[in-house]
Amino acid sequence: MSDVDRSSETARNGGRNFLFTLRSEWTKLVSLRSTKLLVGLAILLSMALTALLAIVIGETFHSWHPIDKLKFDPTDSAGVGGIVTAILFLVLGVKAATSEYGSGMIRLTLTATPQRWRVLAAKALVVMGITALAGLASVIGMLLTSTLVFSSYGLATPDLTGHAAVKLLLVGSLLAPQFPLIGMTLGLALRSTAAAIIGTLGVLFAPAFVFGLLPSSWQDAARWFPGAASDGLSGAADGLAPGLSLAVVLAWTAAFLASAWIVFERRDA
Amino acid sequence: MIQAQGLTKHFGKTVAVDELSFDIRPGVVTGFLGPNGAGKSTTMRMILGLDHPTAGTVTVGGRSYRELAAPMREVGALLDAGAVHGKLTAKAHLRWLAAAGGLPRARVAEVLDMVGLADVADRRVGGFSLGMRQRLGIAGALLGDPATLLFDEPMNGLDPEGIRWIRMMLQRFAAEGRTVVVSSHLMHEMEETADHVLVIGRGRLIADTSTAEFTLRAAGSHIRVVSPDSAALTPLLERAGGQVVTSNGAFAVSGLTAATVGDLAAEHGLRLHELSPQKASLETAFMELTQDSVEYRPEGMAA
Repeated sequence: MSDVDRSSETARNGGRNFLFTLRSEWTKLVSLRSTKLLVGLAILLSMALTALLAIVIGETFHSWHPIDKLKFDPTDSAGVGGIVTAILFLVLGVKAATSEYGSGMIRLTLTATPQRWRVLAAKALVVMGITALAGLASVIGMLLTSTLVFSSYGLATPDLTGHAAVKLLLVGSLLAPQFPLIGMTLGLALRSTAAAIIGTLGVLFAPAFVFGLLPSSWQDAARWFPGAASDGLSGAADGLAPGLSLAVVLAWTAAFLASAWIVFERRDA
Repeated sequence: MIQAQGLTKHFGKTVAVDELSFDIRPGVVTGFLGPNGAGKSTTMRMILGLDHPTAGTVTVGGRSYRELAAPMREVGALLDAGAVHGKLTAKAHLRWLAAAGGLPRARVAEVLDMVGLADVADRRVGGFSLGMRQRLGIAGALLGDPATLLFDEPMNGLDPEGIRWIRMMLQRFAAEGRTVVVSSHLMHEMEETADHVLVIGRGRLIADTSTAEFTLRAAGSHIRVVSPDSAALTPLLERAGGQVVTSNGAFAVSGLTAATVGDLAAEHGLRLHELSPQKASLETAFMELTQDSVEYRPEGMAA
Protein backbone atom coordinates (compact mmCIF):
# COMPACT_ATOMS: atom_id res chain seq x y z
CA MET A 1 0.00 0.00 0.00
CA SER A 2 2.69 2.45 1.00
CA ASP A 3 4.77 1.48 -2.05
CA VAL A 4 1.89 2.35 -4.26
CA ASP A 5 1.54 5.66 -2.45
CA ARG A 6 5.16 6.52 -3.04
CA SER A 7 5.25 5.49 -6.67
CA SER A 8 2.21 7.59 -7.45
CA GLU A 9 3.42 10.62 -5.52
CA THR A 10 4.14 12.70 -8.61
CA ALA A 11 0.74 11.93 -10.04
CA ARG A 12 -0.88 12.76 -6.73
CA ASN A 13 0.92 16.10 -6.56
CA GLY A 14 -0.35 16.95 -10.02
CA GLY A 15 -3.81 15.91 -8.94
CA ARG A 16 -3.58 17.90 -5.74
CA ASN A 17 -2.45 20.98 -7.64
CA PHE A 18 -5.42 20.62 -9.92
CA LEU A 19 -7.72 20.43 -6.90
CA PHE A 20 -6.21 23.74 -5.68
CA THR A 21 -7.03 25.37 -9.00
CA LEU A 22 -10.50 23.87 -8.96
CA ARG A 23 -11.18 25.16 -5.46
CA SER A 24 -9.87 28.58 -6.43
CA GLU A 25 -12.07 28.83 -9.53
CA TRP A 26 -15.04 27.61 -7.52
CA THR A 27 -14.45 30.24 -4.83
CA LYS A 28 -14.11 32.92 -7.49
CA LEU A 29 -17.26 32.01 -9.40
CA VAL A 30 -19.55 31.56 -6.39
CA SER A 31 -18.28 34.82 -4.85
CA LEU A 32 -19.50 36.71 -7.91
CA ARG A 33 -22.89 38.29 -7.42
CA SER A 34 -23.76 37.75 -11.09
CA THR A 35 -23.46 33.97 -10.62
CA LYS A 36 -25.97 33.85 -7.78
CA LEU A 37 -28.25 36.26 -9.60
CA LEU A 38 -28.23 34.27 -12.84
CA VAL A 39 -28.81 30.92 -11.13
CA GLY A 40 -31.62 32.34 -9.00
CA LEU A 41 -33.25 34.09 -11.95
CA ALA A 42 -33.00 30.99 -14.15
CA ILE A 43 -34.76 28.80 -11.60
CA LEU A 44 -37.45 31.36 -10.78
CA LEU A 45 -38.15 32.41 -14.38
CA SER A 46 -38.31 28.84 -15.68
CA MET A 47 -40.81 28.00 -12.94
CA ALA A 48 -42.81 31.14 -13.70
CA LEU A 49 -42.93 30.32 -17.41
CA THR A 50 -44.07 26.77 -16.63
CA ALA A 51 -46.70 28.08 -14.23
CA LEU A 52 -47.97 30.49 -16.89
CA LEU A 53 -48.28 27.76 -19.52
CA ALA A 54 -49.89 25.35 -17.07
CA ILE A 55 -52.43 27.99 -16.02
CA VAL A 56 -53.31 28.73 -19.65
CA ILE A 57 -53.79 24.99 -20.26
CA GLY A 58 -55.84 24.63 -17.09
CA GLU A 59 -58.08 27.57 -17.98
CA THR A 60 -58.73 26.44 -21.57
CA PHE A 61 -58.65 22.65 -21.24
CA HIS A 62 -62.45 22.25 -21.21
CA SER A 63 -62.69 23.74 -24.70
CA TRP A 64 -59.90 21.59 -26.23
CA HIS A 65 -60.64 19.21 -29.11
CA PRO A 66 -61.06 15.63 -27.79
CA ILE A 67 -58.01 14.45 -29.78
CA ASP A 68 -55.86 17.20 -28.27
CA LYS A 69 -57.19 16.21 -24.86
CA LEU A 70 -56.02 12.66 -25.50
CA LYS A 71 -52.58 13.84 -26.61
CA PHE A 72 -52.15 16.07 -23.54
CA ASP A 73 -48.99 15.18 -21.64
CA PRO A 74 -48.58 17.15 -18.38
CA THR A 75 -44.81 16.61 -18.46
CA ASP A 76 -44.40 18.65 -21.65
CA SER A 77 -45.18 21.94 -20.00
CA ALA A 78 -42.44 21.31 -17.47
CA GLY A 79 -39.83 21.64 -20.20
CA VAL A 80 -40.95 25.01 -21.48
CA GLY A 81 -38.70 27.02 -19.15
CA GLY A 82 -35.65 25.36 -20.67
CA ILE A 83 -35.06 28.20 -23.11
CA VAL A 84 -34.84 30.73 -20.25
CA THR A 85 -32.35 28.66 -18.32
CA ALA A 86 -30.35 28.04 -21.50
CA ILE A 87 -29.90 31.76 -22.13
CA LEU A 88 -29.19 32.73 -18.52
CA PHE A 89 -26.73 29.87 -18.01
CA LEU A 90 -24.99 30.81 -21.23
CA VAL A 91 -24.45 34.30 -19.80
CA LEU A 92 -23.10 32.68 -16.62
CA GLY A 93 -20.57 30.72 -18.66
CA VAL A 94 -19.48 33.82 -20.57
CA LYS A 95 -19.11 35.82 -17.36
CA ALA A 96 -16.99 33.10 -15.76
CA ALA A 97 -14.34 33.97 -18.34
CA THR A 98 -14.87 37.64 -19.18
CA SER A 99 -15.25 38.95 -15.62
CA GLU A 100 -11.51 38.33 -15.24
CA TYR A 101 -10.65 40.25 -18.36
CA GLY A 102 -12.76 43.26 -17.52
CA SER A 103 -10.89 43.75 -14.27
CA GLY A 104 -7.49 42.50 -15.46
CA MET A 105 -7.60 39.88 -12.70
CA ILE A 106 -6.69 37.18 -15.25
CA ARG A 107 -3.05 38.18 -14.79
CA LEU A 108 -3.26 37.43 -11.11
CA THR A 109 -4.98 34.13 -11.87
CA LEU A 110 -2.24 33.12 -14.28
CA THR A 111 0.50 34.28 -11.93
CA ALA A 112 -0.96 32.03 -9.24
CA THR A 113 -1.49 29.19 -11.72
CA PRO A 114 0.90 29.52 -14.67
CA GLN A 115 -0.21 26.14 -16.03
CA ARG A 116 -2.99 27.60 -18.17
CA TRP A 117 -4.62 24.30 -19.08
CA ARG A 118 -5.34 23.89 -15.38
CA VAL A 119 -7.15 27.23 -15.25
CA LEU A 120 -9.16 26.37 -18.36
CA ALA A 121 -10.06 22.87 -17.16
CA ALA A 122 -10.97 24.08 -13.66
CA LYS A 123 -13.15 26.88 -15.03
CA ALA A 124 -14.87 24.40 -17.37
CA LEU A 125 -15.56 21.94 -14.55
CA VAL A 126 -16.89 24.65 -12.24
CA VAL A 127 -19.17 26.03 -14.96
CA MET A 128 -20.32 22.49 -15.74
CA GLY A 129 -20.98 21.67 -12.10
CA ILE A 130 -22.90 24.84 -11.33
CA THR A 131 -25.05 24.76 -14.47
CA ALA A 132 -25.76 21.02 -14.18
CA LEU A 133 -26.92 21.42 -10.58
CA ALA A 134 -28.88 24.56 -11.32
CA GLY A 135 -30.36 22.90 -14.42
CA LEU A 136 -31.48 19.97 -12.30
CA ALA A 137 -32.97 22.34 -9.73
CA SER A 138 -34.82 24.21 -12.43
CA VAL A 139 -36.32 21.02 -13.93
CA ILE A 140 -37.41 19.84 -10.48
CA GLY A 141 -38.90 23.27 -9.88
CA MET A 142 -40.78 23.14 -13.20
CA LEU A 143 -42.12 19.62 -12.57
CA LEU A 144 -43.35 20.58 -9.12
CA THR A 145 -44.90 23.79 -10.46
CA SER A 146 -46.84 22.00 -13.19
CA THR A 147 -47.91 19.27 -10.73
CA LEU A 148 -49.24 21.95 -8.42
CA VAL A 149 -51.09 23.89 -11.13
CA PHE A 150 -52.55 20.88 -12.96
CA SER A 151 -53.75 19.22 -9.75
CA SER A 152 -55.55 22.42 -8.77
CA TYR A 153 -57.41 22.22 -12.11
CA GLY A 154 -58.09 18.52 -11.54
CA LEU A 155 -56.03 17.55 -14.60
CA ALA A 156 -53.50 14.75 -14.95
CA THR A 157 -50.17 15.63 -13.33
CA PRO A 158 -46.67 14.69 -14.50
CA ASP A 159 -45.69 11.16 -13.53
CA LEU A 160 -42.55 12.05 -11.57
CA THR A 161 -41.10 8.54 -11.81
CA GLY A 162 -42.17 8.03 -15.40
CA HIS A 163 -39.97 7.83 -18.43
CA ALA A 164 -40.74 11.38 -19.63
CA ALA A 165 -39.96 13.02 -16.29
CA VAL A 166 -36.73 11.10 -15.76
CA LYS A 167 -35.61 12.00 -19.27
CA LEU A 168 -36.44 15.64 -18.60
CA LEU A 169 -34.35 15.56 -15.42
CA LEU A 170 -31.42 13.89 -17.16
CA VAL A 171 -31.45 16.19 -20.16
CA GLY A 172 -32.07 19.27 -18.00
CA SER A 173 -29.01 18.63 -15.89
CA LEU A 174 -26.62 16.90 -18.28
CA LEU A 175 -27.26 19.15 -21.26
CA ALA A 176 -27.38 22.36 -19.21
CA PRO A 177 -23.57 22.86 -19.33
CA GLN A 178 -23.33 22.65 -23.15
CA PHE A 179 -23.93 26.30 -24.06
CA PRO A 180 -22.38 27.71 -20.87
CA LEU A 181 -19.19 25.87 -21.83
CA ILE A 182 -19.30 27.24 -25.37
CA GLY A 183 -19.95 30.68 -23.84
CA MET A 184 -16.95 30.29 -21.56
CA THR A 185 -14.66 29.35 -24.45
CA LEU A 186 -15.86 32.30 -26.54
CA GLY A 187 -15.46 34.55 -23.47
CA LEU A 188 -11.86 33.43 -23.10
CA ALA A 189 -11.17 33.89 -26.79
CA LEU A 190 -12.97 37.22 -27.29
CA ARG A 191 -12.38 38.71 -23.80
CA SER A 192 -15.59 40.74 -24.11
CA THR A 193 -18.88 39.89 -22.43
CA ALA A 194 -21.08 41.40 -25.13
CA ALA A 195 -19.18 39.85 -28.03
CA ALA A 196 -19.11 36.44 -26.37
CA ILE A 197 -22.84 36.47 -25.53
CA ILE A 198 -23.73 37.46 -29.08
CA GLY A 199 -21.34 34.81 -30.41
CA THR A 200 -22.83 32.08 -28.25
CA LEU A 201 -26.40 33.05 -29.06
CA GLY A 202 -25.28 32.93 -32.69
CA VAL A 203 -23.96 29.39 -32.28
CA LEU A 204 -27.24 28.44 -30.57
CA PHE A 205 -29.74 30.05 -32.96
CA ALA A 206 -28.03 31.06 -36.20
CA PRO A 207 -27.84 27.60 -37.82
CA ALA A 208 -31.59 27.05 -37.50
CA PHE A 209 -32.25 30.54 -38.83
CA VAL A 210 -29.82 30.34 -41.74
CA PHE A 211 -30.87 26.85 -42.78
CA GLY A 212 -34.48 27.93 -42.57
CA LEU A 213 -33.76 30.30 -45.47
CA LEU A 214 -31.98 27.64 -47.55
CA PRO A 215 -33.62 25.06 -49.84
CA SER A 216 -35.08 22.08 -48.03
CA SER A 217 -32.42 19.73 -49.42
CA TRP A 218 -30.00 21.52 -47.08
CA GLN A 219 -32.14 21.02 -43.99
CA ASP A 220 -30.49 17.76 -43.04
CA ALA A 221 -27.21 19.52 -42.43
CA ALA A 222 -28.83 21.79 -39.83
CA ARG A 223 -29.25 18.86 -37.47
CA TRP A 224 -25.49 18.56 -37.04
CA PHE A 225 -25.08 21.97 -35.39
CA PRO A 226 -24.79 22.21 -31.58
CA GLY A 227 -28.25 23.59 -30.85
CA ALA A 228 -30.11 21.16 -33.08
CA ALA A 229 -28.03 18.23 -31.88
CA SER A 230 -29.00 18.86 -28.29
CA ASP A 231 -32.64 19.14 -29.39
CA GLY A 232 -32.15 15.67 -30.87
CA LEU A 233 -31.12 14.45 -27.45
CA SER A 234 -34.23 15.84 -25.83
CA GLY A 235 -36.21 13.95 -28.45
CA ALA A 236 -37.19 16.45 -31.15
CA ALA A 237 -39.08 14.62 -33.89
CA ASP A 238 -36.79 15.50 -36.80
CA GLY A 239 -33.51 15.29 -34.88
CA LEU A 240 -30.64 12.83 -34.98
CA ALA A 241 -30.81 9.58 -33.03
CA PRO A 242 -30.09 10.15 -29.31
CA GLY A 243 -26.74 8.33 -29.32
CA LEU A 244 -25.56 10.23 -32.37
CA SER A 245 -26.86 13.49 -30.90
CA LEU A 246 -24.84 12.92 -27.76
CA ALA A 247 -21.70 12.27 -29.81
CA VAL A 248 -22.28 15.44 -31.86
CA VAL A 249 -22.87 17.54 -28.73
CA LEU A 250 -19.71 16.20 -27.08
CA ALA A 251 -17.66 16.69 -30.26
CA TRP A 252 -18.75 20.33 -30.61
CA THR A 253 -18.05 21.08 -26.96
CA ALA A 254 -14.63 19.44 -27.19
CA ALA A 255 -13.85 21.42 -30.34
CA PHE A 256 -14.74 24.72 -28.66
CA LEU A 257 -12.69 23.81 -25.57
CA ALA A 258 -9.69 22.78 -27.64
CA SER A 259 -9.77 25.98 -29.70
CA ALA A 260 -10.03 28.09 -26.54
CA TRP A 261 -7.12 26.19 -25.04
CA ILE A 262 -4.90 26.87 -28.07
CA VAL A 263 -5.70 30.60 -28.03
CA PHE A 264 -5.40 30.89 -24.25
CA GLU A 265 -2.11 29.02 -24.06
CA ARG A 266 -0.37 31.03 -26.76
CA ARG A 267 -1.63 34.50 -26.09
CA ASP A 268 0.08 37.09 -23.90
CA ALA A 269 -2.07 37.64 -20.83
CA MET B 1 17.74 35.41 -8.00
CA ILE B 2 16.24 36.46 -11.32
CA GLN B 3 18.30 35.98 -14.47
CA ALA B 4 17.54 37.30 -17.92
CA GLN B 5 19.49 36.36 -21.02
CA GLY B 6 18.92 38.25 -24.25
CA LEU B 7 15.30 38.83 -23.25
CA THR B 8 13.43 40.36 -26.19
CA LYS B 9 9.81 41.19 -26.87
CA HIS B 10 8.29 42.52 -30.06
CA PHE B 11 4.70 43.68 -30.38
CA GLY B 12 4.24 43.71 -34.12
CA LYS B 13 6.96 46.03 -35.38
CA THR B 14 7.46 47.70 -32.00
CA VAL B 15 10.44 46.47 -30.02
CA ALA B 16 9.28 46.74 -26.41
CA VAL B 17 12.21 44.90 -24.82
CA ASP B 18 15.50 44.60 -26.64
CA GLU B 19 18.00 41.91 -25.60
CA LEU B 20 17.96 42.53 -21.87
CA SER B 21 20.45 40.55 -19.82
CA PHE B 22 20.71 40.96 -16.08
CA ASP B 23 21.00 39.14 -12.76
CA ILE B 24 18.92 40.37 -9.85
CA ARG B 25 20.40 39.28 -6.54
CA PRO B 26 18.73 38.58 -3.21
CA GLY B 27 19.27 40.64 -0.09
CA VAL B 28 18.95 44.07 -1.65
CA VAL B 29 16.14 46.17 -3.05
CA THR B 30 16.64 46.44 -6.81
CA GLY B 31 15.03 49.40 -8.48
CA PHE B 32 13.84 48.79 -12.01
CA LEU B 33 13.87 52.23 -13.56
CA GLY B 34 12.83 53.69 -16.83
CA PRO B 35 10.51 56.27 -18.29
CA ASN B 36 6.93 55.25 -19.05
CA GLY B 37 6.91 52.91 -22.02
CA ALA B 38 10.52 51.82 -21.50
CA GLY B 39 9.51 48.17 -21.24
CA LYS B 40 9.47 47.70 -17.45
CA SER B 41 6.01 46.18 -17.22
CA THR B 42 6.55 43.99 -20.26
CA THR B 43 9.75 42.67 -18.70
CA MET B 44 7.92 41.96 -15.44
CA ARG B 45 5.15 40.17 -17.31
CA MET B 46 7.76 38.01 -19.04
CA ILE B 47 9.40 37.20 -15.70
CA LEU B 48 5.97 36.00 -14.52
CA GLY B 49 5.28 33.92 -17.62
CA LEU B 50 2.35 36.11 -18.67
CA ASP B 51 3.92 37.38 -21.90
CA HIS B 52 5.91 35.05 -24.12
CA PRO B 53 9.38 36.39 -25.00
CA THR B 54 10.05 36.80 -28.71
CA ALA B 55 13.62 35.69 -27.94
CA GLY B 56 15.80 35.01 -24.93
CA THR B 57 14.98 33.55 -21.53
CA VAL B 58 14.27 34.69 -18.02
CA THR B 59 14.36 32.45 -14.96
CA VAL B 60 13.48 32.75 -11.29
CA GLY B 61 15.71 30.65 -9.06
CA GLY B 62 17.01 28.87 -12.15
CA ARG B 63 13.66 27.88 -13.61
CA SER B 64 11.24 29.57 -15.95
CA TYR B 65 8.17 30.78 -14.10
CA ARG B 66 5.74 28.53 -15.90
CA GLU B 67 7.72 25.50 -14.72
CA LEU B 68 7.52 26.39 -11.03
CA ALA B 69 5.57 23.77 -9.11
CA ALA B 70 4.36 26.16 -6.42
CA PRO B 71 4.85 29.64 -7.91
CA MET B 72 3.15 31.53 -5.09
CA ARG B 73 5.58 30.07 -2.57
CA GLU B 74 8.50 31.27 -4.67
CA VAL B 75 7.40 34.55 -6.21
CA GLY B 76 4.99 37.21 -5.01
CA ALA B 77 3.95 39.82 -7.53
CA LEU B 78 2.01 43.06 -7.52
CA LEU B 79 1.34 44.06 -11.11
CA ASP B 80 -1.74 46.23 -11.17
CA ALA B 81 -3.43 46.89 -7.86
CA GLY B 82 -6.61 47.84 -9.71
CA ALA B 83 -6.90 44.41 -11.32
CA VAL B 84 -9.24 42.99 -8.72
CA HIS B 85 -12.89 42.16 -9.10
CA GLY B 86 -14.57 45.07 -7.32
CA LYS B 87 -17.53 42.98 -6.15
CA LEU B 88 -15.33 40.66 -4.11
CA THR B 89 -14.52 41.43 -0.50
CA ALA B 90 -10.86 41.70 0.45
CA LYS B 91 -11.14 38.38 2.24
CA ALA B 92 -12.89 36.58 -0.65
CA HIS B 93 -10.27 37.90 -3.04
CA LEU B 94 -7.39 36.58 -0.95
CA ARG B 95 -9.25 33.31 -0.40
CA TRP B 96 -9.41 32.34 -4.04
CA LEU B 97 -5.81 33.41 -4.43
CA ALA B 98 -4.73 31.31 -1.44
CA ALA B 99 -6.73 28.37 -2.80
CA ALA B 100 -5.01 28.68 -6.18
CA GLY B 101 -1.62 28.51 -4.52
CA GLY B 102 -2.59 25.62 -2.28
CA LEU B 103 -1.92 27.86 0.71
CA PRO B 104 -3.65 27.48 4.08
CA ARG B 105 -6.68 29.69 4.58
CA ALA B 106 -5.21 31.00 7.82
CA ARG B 107 -2.64 32.94 5.76
CA VAL B 108 -5.44 35.24 4.56
CA ALA B 109 -6.00 36.72 8.01
CA GLU B 110 -2.26 36.88 8.63
CA VAL B 111 -1.42 38.89 5.51
CA LEU B 112 -4.46 41.16 5.97
CA ASP B 113 -3.08 41.91 9.38
CA MET B 114 0.43 42.50 8.03
CA VAL B 115 -0.73 45.14 5.58
CA GLY B 116 -3.16 46.75 8.01
CA LEU B 117 -6.40 45.76 6.26
CA ALA B 118 -7.79 43.44 8.94
CA ASP B 119 -10.55 45.93 9.78
CA VAL B 120 -11.86 46.11 6.23
CA ALA B 121 -11.52 42.40 5.39
CA ASP B 122 -15.25 42.01 4.75
CA ARG B 123 -15.65 45.13 2.66
CA ARG B 124 -15.91 45.06 -1.11
CA VAL B 125 -12.73 45.93 -2.93
CA GLY B 126 -14.66 48.22 -5.26
CA GLY B 127 -14.92 50.78 -2.45
CA PHE B 128 -11.21 50.74 -1.65
CA SER B 129 -8.92 53.71 -2.17
CA LEU B 130 -5.85 53.26 -4.36
CA GLY B 131 -3.68 53.01 -1.27
CA MET B 132 -5.88 50.24 0.16
CA ARG B 133 -5.78 48.38 -3.14
CA GLN B 134 -1.99 48.59 -3.17
CA ARG B 135 -1.97 47.13 0.31
CA LEU B 136 -4.34 44.36 -0.76
CA GLY B 137 -2.11 43.63 -3.76
CA ILE B 138 0.90 43.39 -1.47
CA ALA B 139 -1.06 41.13 0.88
CA GLY B 140 -1.72 38.83 -2.10
CA ALA B 141 1.98 38.82 -2.99
CA LEU B 142 2.88 37.87 0.58
CA LEU B 143 0.41 34.96 0.86
CA GLY B 144 2.96 32.30 -0.03
CA ASP B 145 5.78 33.93 1.99
CA PRO B 146 7.90 33.93 -1.20
CA ALA B 147 11.66 34.43 -1.52
CA THR B 148 11.19 36.75 -4.48
CA LEU B 149 8.98 39.82 -4.61
CA LEU B 150 8.15 41.79 -7.74
CA PHE B 151 6.29 45.07 -7.40
CA ASP B 152 5.34 47.11 -10.45
CA GLU B 153 5.01 50.80 -9.58
CA PRO B 154 3.79 50.11 -6.03
CA MET B 155 4.03 53.76 -5.02
CA ASN B 156 1.86 55.11 -7.81
CA GLY B 157 -0.81 57.39 -6.45
CA LEU B 158 0.13 56.90 -2.80
CA ASP B 159 0.35 59.65 -0.23
CA PRO B 160 3.70 60.26 1.52
CA GLU B 161 2.63 58.09 4.44
CA GLY B 162 1.84 55.19 2.10
CA ILE B 163 5.12 55.61 0.25
CA ARG B 164 7.03 55.53 3.51
CA TRP B 165 5.16 52.37 4.54
CA ILE B 166 5.98 50.55 1.29
CA ARG B 167 9.59 51.70 1.42
CA MET B 168 10.08 50.33 4.92
CA MET B 169 8.37 47.08 4.01
CA LEU B 170 10.56 46.58 0.94
CA GLN B 171 13.72 47.23 2.90
CA ARG B 172 12.63 44.81 5.57
CA PHE B 173 12.01 42.08 2.97
CA ALA B 174 15.45 42.64 1.47
CA ALA B 175 17.04 42.54 4.92
CA GLU B 176 15.36 39.14 5.41
CA GLY B 177 17.38 37.93 2.42
CA ARG B 178 14.63 38.04 -0.19
CA THR B 179 15.03 39.16 -3.78
CA VAL B 180 13.07 42.41 -4.06
CA VAL B 181 12.40 44.17 -7.36
CA VAL B 182 10.50 47.44 -7.54
CA SER B 183 9.80 49.25 -10.76
CA SER B 184 9.23 52.96 -10.94
CA HIS B 185 9.40 55.82 -13.36
CA LEU B 186 9.91 58.26 -10.48
CA MET B 187 13.56 58.47 -9.64
CA HIS B 188 13.37 60.21 -6.31
CA GLU B 189 11.28 57.32 -4.98
CA MET B 190 14.04 54.89 -5.78
CA GLU B 191 16.84 57.05 -4.48
CA GLU B 192 15.83 56.27 -0.92
CA THR B 193 14.40 52.81 -1.55
CA ALA B 194 16.70 50.88 -3.84
CA ASP B 195 20.23 49.71 -3.14
CA HIS B 196 20.77 48.68 -6.72
CA VAL B 197 19.29 49.99 -9.95
CA LEU B 198 18.58 48.50 -13.34
CA VAL B 199 17.87 51.33 -15.74
CA ILE B 200 16.19 50.70 -19.06
CA GLY B 201 15.28 53.07 -21.84
CA ARG B 202 13.45 52.01 -24.98
CA GLY B 203 13.70 48.40 -23.92
CA ARG B 204 17.48 48.44 -23.58
CA LEU B 205 19.57 48.10 -20.48
CA ILE B 206 21.47 51.32 -19.88
CA ALA B 207 22.75 50.82 -16.36
CA ASP B 208 23.05 47.95 -13.88
CA THR B 209 24.80 49.31 -10.85
CA SER B 210 24.48 50.32 -7.22
CA THR B 211 22.31 53.34 -6.58
CA ALA B 212 25.30 55.12 -4.98
CA GLU B 213 27.50 54.56 -7.98
CA PHE B 214 24.75 55.46 -10.38
CA THR B 215 24.34 58.90 -8.86
CA LEU B 216 28.09 59.30 -8.43
CA ARG B 217 28.86 58.58 -12.06
CA ALA B 218 26.29 61.03 -13.23
CA ALA B 219 27.20 64.46 -14.54
CA GLY B 220 27.51 66.98 -11.75
CA SER B 221 28.68 64.39 -9.25
CA HIS B 222 32.09 65.35 -7.90
CA ILE B 223 34.13 65.62 -4.75
CA ARG B 224 34.71 69.00 -3.28
CA VAL B 225 38.23 69.27 -1.87
CA VAL B 226 39.77 72.15 0.08
CA SER B 227 43.49 71.79 0.80
CA PRO B 228 46.32 74.20 1.59
CA ASP B 229 48.60 71.76 -0.32
CA SER B 230 46.59 71.86 -3.53
CA ALA B 231 49.65 72.48 -5.70
CA ALA B 232 51.09 69.11 -4.67
CA LEU B 233 47.72 67.28 -4.53
CA THR B 234 46.39 68.23 -7.98
CA PRO B 235 48.97 66.33 -10.07
CA LEU B 236 48.59 63.27 -7.81
CA LEU B 237 44.83 63.21 -8.38
CA GLU B 238 45.22 63.68 -12.11
CA ARG B 239 47.72 60.82 -12.29
CA ALA B 240 45.18 58.63 -10.43
CA GLY B 241 42.64 59.29 -13.17
CA GLY B 242 40.67 62.17 -11.75
CA GLN B 243 39.65 65.37 -13.48
CA VAL B 244 40.33 68.43 -11.40
CA VAL B 245 38.75 71.83 -11.79
CA THR B 246 40.00 74.56 -9.49
CA SER B 247 37.81 77.40 -8.38
CA ASN B 248 38.85 79.99 -5.73
CA GLY B 249 40.66 77.86 -3.19
CA ALA B 250 38.49 74.76 -3.47
CA PHE B 251 38.62 72.25 -6.30
CA ALA B 252 36.19 69.77 -7.74
CA VAL B 253 37.41 66.26 -8.45
CA SER B 254 35.41 63.94 -10.64
CA GLY B 255 36.12 60.35 -11.62
CA LEU B 256 37.47 59.37 -8.18
CA THR B 257 35.76 58.39 -4.96
CA ALA B 258 36.17 60.42 -1.78
CA ALA B 259 38.03 57.46 -0.24
CA THR B 260 40.65 57.47 -3.03
CA VAL B 261 41.21 61.21 -2.68
CA GLY B 262 41.57 60.92 1.09
CA ASP B 263 43.93 57.94 0.87
CA LEU B 264 46.15 59.66 -1.72
CA ALA B 265 46.45 62.74 0.46
CA ALA B 266 47.31 60.67 3.53
CA GLU B 267 49.95 58.63 1.69
CA HIS B 268 51.76 61.79 0.71
CA GLY B 269 51.26 63.62 4.01
CA LEU B 270 49.11 66.35 2.44
CA ARG B 271 46.56 68.23 4.51
CA LEU B 272 42.83 68.26 3.67
CA HIS B 273 40.48 70.81 5.15
CA GLU B 274 37.41 69.58 3.37
CA LEU B 275 36.51 66.41 1.51
CA SER B 276 32.87 66.07 0.57
CA PRO B 277 31.06 64.13 -2.15
CA GLN B 278 28.61 66.31 -4.04
CA LYS B 279 25.99 63.99 -5.45
CA ALA B 280 23.81 64.73 -8.41
CA SER B 281 20.34 63.41 -7.79
CA LEU B 282 19.26 60.09 -9.22
CA GLU B 283 16.74 62.09 -11.18
CA THR B 284 19.46 64.03 -13.01
CA ALA B 285 21.49 60.90 -13.60
CA PHE B 286 18.48 59.13 -14.97
CA MET B 287 17.39 61.95 -17.26
CA GLU B 288 20.86 62.14 -18.67
CA LEU B 289 21.12 58.41 -19.30
CA THR B 290 17.71 57.90 -20.80
CA GLN B 291 18.05 60.98 -22.99
CA ASP B 292 21.32 59.56 -24.23
CA SER B 293 19.68 56.29 -25.06
CA VAL B 294 17.08 58.10 -27.08
CA GLU B 295 19.77 60.01 -28.91
CA TYR B 296 22.09 57.13 -29.76
CA ARG B 297 19.44 54.89 -31.02
CA PRO B 298 18.90 56.16 -34.56
CA GLU B 299 22.68 56.28 -35.11
CA GLY B 300 23.13 52.77 -33.80
CA MET B 301 20.48 51.52 -36.14
CA ALA B 302 21.99 53.30 -39.13
CA ALA B 303 25.44 51.83 -38.42
